[in-house]
Amino acid sequence: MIIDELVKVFNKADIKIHNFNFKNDDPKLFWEFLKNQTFKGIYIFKDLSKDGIQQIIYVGKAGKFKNTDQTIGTRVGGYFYSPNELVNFPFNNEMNFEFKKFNSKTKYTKEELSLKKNDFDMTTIEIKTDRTFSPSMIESYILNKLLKEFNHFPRFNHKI
Amino acid sequence: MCINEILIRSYGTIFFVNDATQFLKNSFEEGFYFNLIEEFKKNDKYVDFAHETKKRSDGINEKFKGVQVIRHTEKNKIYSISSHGTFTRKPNKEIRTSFNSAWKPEQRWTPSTIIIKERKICRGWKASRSGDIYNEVYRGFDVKNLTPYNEIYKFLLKIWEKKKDKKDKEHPDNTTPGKKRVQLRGNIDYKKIPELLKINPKIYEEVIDFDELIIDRFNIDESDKYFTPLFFSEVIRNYFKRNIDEFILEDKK
Repeated sequence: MIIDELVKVFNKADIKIHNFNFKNDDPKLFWEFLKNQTFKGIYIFKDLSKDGIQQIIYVGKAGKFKNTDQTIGTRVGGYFYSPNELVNFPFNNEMNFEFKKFNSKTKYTKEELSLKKNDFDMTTIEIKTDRTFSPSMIESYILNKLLKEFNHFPRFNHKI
Repeated sequence: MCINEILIRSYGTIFFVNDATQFLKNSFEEGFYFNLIEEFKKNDKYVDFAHETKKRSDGINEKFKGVQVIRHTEKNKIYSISSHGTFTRKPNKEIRTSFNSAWKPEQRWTPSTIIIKERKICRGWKASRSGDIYNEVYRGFDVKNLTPYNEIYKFLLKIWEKKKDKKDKEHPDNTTPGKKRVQLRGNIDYKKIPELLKINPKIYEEVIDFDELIIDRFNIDESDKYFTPLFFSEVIRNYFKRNIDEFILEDKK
């Protein structure tokens, strides 16, 4: 819903939406999907077992206003176990999807970091234009909307 | 485009500040910032802080919640855009209902500081120059040559001993000369900055009097229905980055 609103504010020349989940996409291609996020923008993790806006569990950003080396692909690596770290990549021994860590002082248990494999969803918003708007602005817009209009503070976000 | 040009009111534009999406859309319109100031003035949520300090020097409330923009009265310069107030989580993951910390503008020295009593902003603290002057004046240390070494060692040992989480690799016996210099330059008592500025004005690259500045303050507190300070500041930052060629802003966003 928020993403739809964002798409209405900007046009197709400015942003492009990408998505991956294990219901519709081949799990083996997850790492490829991450590596292919070679642009600046926003990434949103969802827990599809929840309803509506509550599905959003994390919103993050990669890159700056102007041209930048940082991309979503280079930024998000730390959230996930790599193919070398999991025998059943991208799933853990229980065949669930598990986040490796979040950049936050808050500590999470293994259970909190795990989702049933079909419940994980990742959406990225590619910012296609330089000198128009920054990932920081879009990230703060989404978090502002979630908190002020839906009273929702994504569970892995630490600051709004 | 100069600030004054983009501040020209765009008549005919309906200006909303009660919806995040509309606010974002408005930021792509000409005259956005001027309209914003007018709208906040109407709602008694705006003050020019530089002007305010001219009217009265005492009783200034420094604990500001919202967004502050420091710009030159005439030149095409924005010096800073800052947001003050974030909602955070406690270590037990509970969400704090009040902003995490009140802003204390004078309790920082780098990369810039505000000295409200003297109505000045100071920009361009360089650790390797300003920090060395500070160490020379207040501690008698020559940071470049790490002399007198025994005194410097004792000073760094005290800092290490005060740490809650003592790591062996950070003990002065185990740190490199470079690390020692970084520690000396980073351990600054902000309360001494106004006095040091009088002793050696070169500690900052640029000192600007409040009379040359407009300090826009948009009040946004925890109870604001529509905005968080961070989002509000990001929209303004992006607006100026799109519209001003010469943009002096010490940030990495």
